[in-house]
Amino acid sequence: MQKINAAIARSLTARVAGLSIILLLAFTAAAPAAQQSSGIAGQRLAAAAVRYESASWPAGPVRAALPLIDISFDGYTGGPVDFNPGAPVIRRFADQQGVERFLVEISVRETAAEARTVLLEYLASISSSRKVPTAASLDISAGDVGFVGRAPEKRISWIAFLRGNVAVRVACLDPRSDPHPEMDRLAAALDRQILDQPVLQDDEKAGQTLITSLGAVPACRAGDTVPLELQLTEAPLAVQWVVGGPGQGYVEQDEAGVWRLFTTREGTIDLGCHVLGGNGFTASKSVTIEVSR
Amino acid sequence: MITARRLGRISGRVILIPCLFLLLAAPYAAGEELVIRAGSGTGQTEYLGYGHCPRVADPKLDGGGIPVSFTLLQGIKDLEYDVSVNITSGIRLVRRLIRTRLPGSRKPVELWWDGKDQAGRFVSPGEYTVRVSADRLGAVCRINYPVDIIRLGITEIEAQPSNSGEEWQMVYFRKGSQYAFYATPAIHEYLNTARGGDVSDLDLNSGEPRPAVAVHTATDAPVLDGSNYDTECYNYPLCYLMNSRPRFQVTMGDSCTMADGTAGWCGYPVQGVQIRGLAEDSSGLWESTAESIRPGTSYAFDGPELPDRACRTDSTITWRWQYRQFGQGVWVDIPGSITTQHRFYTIVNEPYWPSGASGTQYAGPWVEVADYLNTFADILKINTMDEALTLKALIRGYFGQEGPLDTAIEGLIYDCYSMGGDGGATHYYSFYSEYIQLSRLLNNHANGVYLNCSDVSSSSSVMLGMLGVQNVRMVYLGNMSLRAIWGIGCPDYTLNLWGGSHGFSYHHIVTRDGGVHVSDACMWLDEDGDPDSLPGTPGYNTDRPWSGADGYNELSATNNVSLSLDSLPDIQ
Repeated sequence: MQKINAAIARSLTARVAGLSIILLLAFTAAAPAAQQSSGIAGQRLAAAAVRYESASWPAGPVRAALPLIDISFDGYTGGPVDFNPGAPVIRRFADQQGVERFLVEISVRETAAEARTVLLEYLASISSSRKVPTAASLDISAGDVGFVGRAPEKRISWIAFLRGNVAVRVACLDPRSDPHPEMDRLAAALDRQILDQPVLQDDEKAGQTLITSLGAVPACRAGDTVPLELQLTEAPLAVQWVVGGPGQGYVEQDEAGVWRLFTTREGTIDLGCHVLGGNGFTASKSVTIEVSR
Repeated sequence: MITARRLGRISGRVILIPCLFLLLAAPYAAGEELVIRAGSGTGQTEYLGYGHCPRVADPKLDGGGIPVSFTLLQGIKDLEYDVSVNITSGIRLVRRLIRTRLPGSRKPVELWWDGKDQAGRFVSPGEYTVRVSADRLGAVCRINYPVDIIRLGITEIEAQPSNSGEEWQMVYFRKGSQYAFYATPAIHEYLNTARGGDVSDLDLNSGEPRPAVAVHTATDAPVLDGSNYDTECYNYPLCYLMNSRPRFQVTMGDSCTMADGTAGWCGYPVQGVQIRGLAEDSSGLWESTAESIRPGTSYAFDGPELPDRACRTDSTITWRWQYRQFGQGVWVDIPGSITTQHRFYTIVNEPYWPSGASGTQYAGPWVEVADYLNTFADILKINTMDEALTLKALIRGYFGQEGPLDTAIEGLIYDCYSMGGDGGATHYYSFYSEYIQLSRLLNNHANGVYLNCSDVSSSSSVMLGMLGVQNVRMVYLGNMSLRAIWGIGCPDYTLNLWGGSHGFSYHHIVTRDGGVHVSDACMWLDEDGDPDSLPGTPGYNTDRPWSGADGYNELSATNNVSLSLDSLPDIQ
């Protein structure tokens, strides 16, 4: 997963650099007929980079770890970690009445440049023609740089910010509802928790949960249950299994902690294992199993 | 002469005492007149006549049991017979059905054995004899009906296509409080087997029959057993191409609970006897060529044609069984039946997925999405018989706010200042990783009540694709100086979307023909002839031409809007 994220980031960085000129042309020229575009995302990203002057954003140091499960906010209870390979990790927080009020999206990257791309994504996908204000302009202390989505009545819809190699969006689930979460306080609190993590020196690598091995029998029959050998360097925060077809099945952990693939349709299964470490980094590995009728 | 009308074919024998006349009865066809001749030379009239008793029975079926009938000759007025009917297994008395005095009559005596022993427990499968005895003034006549008690029942049903490529698995996206994709098991969408601690598949430990599994009607999460997926009992909805014929591969259970509470054999095949299964629903018979069923084996049943449109159809199938002497004679009903409920979703074409898609979420249409389409089509009275009408129902239903659809799908609202939101940020779609968190959107807008055009376009496009709309793609539009629009979840038309400004830096919509026509569930246009003023008249954006006076470009914006085809996103 980490490789995937890094690849995405590299790709997007290249798009930003390479498509800036094309972007200006594309946005000013009317296109009466449909055109095949593989660079729409890059164009949007480049436009956002220019509009929000991302080249001038400060780049904070890389931190070793962000213990996602330990993130807390006074007066709120965090829900389970919502981990989806390729997407920011999400945790939703409920107030003392159990009503979910806001969520936190966190993307922990290996470098500050990769995290910057995530923040640019948030900004680029805003469909309003308005420019959103920076957090600093509203006296909100959040990140090396941050931006604020404002709702009516001086309420805040979301705050997205960057702190070194960590990109964050704190979003209110319904800004209309009361009591409205103090979004600025929440963002600042989260930023402090990120800042509490140790800074890595240049020659240190960010701590990562690694998959040391993933094994399974190469073939079975539909309906069989296949034990999976998964070895990790540390206890994961979340594990997601992706069962790529045409074979079908699902993976569950038994009482003894052994992961098992339950096959439910014949065909080749490309089984991907995506692990989220407690520090927010991810790792992936896959194995192929032939499932016969 | 004693006459009895046979309700079904039987084989058995009559022992006439005291004349020691023995008659071995041959097999008889249903409705055939059976004539038993009385003995002669003793001056005594023989008085007990055959009625009916099935040769094979399963008393645990709904309405199952063993009907027993016989006749008592109508003789001298007020003369009664001492009649007893007992069930035996070998020489062991299993059940005393009656012991009473009865008068003679032209009408047969009809009794019912519920298949239970003297202690009130269902008997185990095996050979039994129904012994009818009538005593008149010390002269006894007897009839013995042999009965094989068997245990019939279905443990698995695998839905298959009658023709290749006409049936798909369905997908759920929740597991308890978590998000996880689950495809209905292709090896059997219906499963009804022993749960933990149960000794047999077909029965409960009490000996009572295991009830059929109700259709799983939740649309977001599959059947769970604790925190894990259920692997023993479930009945999942099925997805077929419209107009196709479903094929069920039905597996007969091979273990039942004996009278002593242990697991045992189901009592068939019965030597010399063929047993076949029949299935029927409200649309007609399900055809099958299986004529000698055995426990633990499976048989194909082809159902009637499914509806000619995308919809949800609930069906009740009645399963019955018949027997006959091997290869001969007419089939005779085994009393009773079972019913299973099934939910069919039909779609207009095969699902259309993003290029290179891989994962359980692409195993087939999502139950929740197929169910939404059914609801939308019903409420909006759209006959979803092709891709265009499927698109029409989905796009209009997604926007909602029409008739009983008083909100947009999942209560979502366009992320604009006037509705309490901000500047139209995405909450479910990733522009750059190109995925849509459809599972979160469909889970009561778990990422927030607001969404923007990219969220709408990406989610509606993949929903259309999984419902069989081909070649659907997102369309990226450049900046727009808007005319009057009605945003999703908003109360009315507006000319002030952002509280002081009214334009898009970009917009995302949907096409299925490369941008010649476009669809948009995010907003309706104004078709009152004056699109730059309020109020507005709803102009639905379902396959609307892009160009022309009534085209999307002209009605949505005052500028010439750039249009680029975007890809179908991945689904999370």
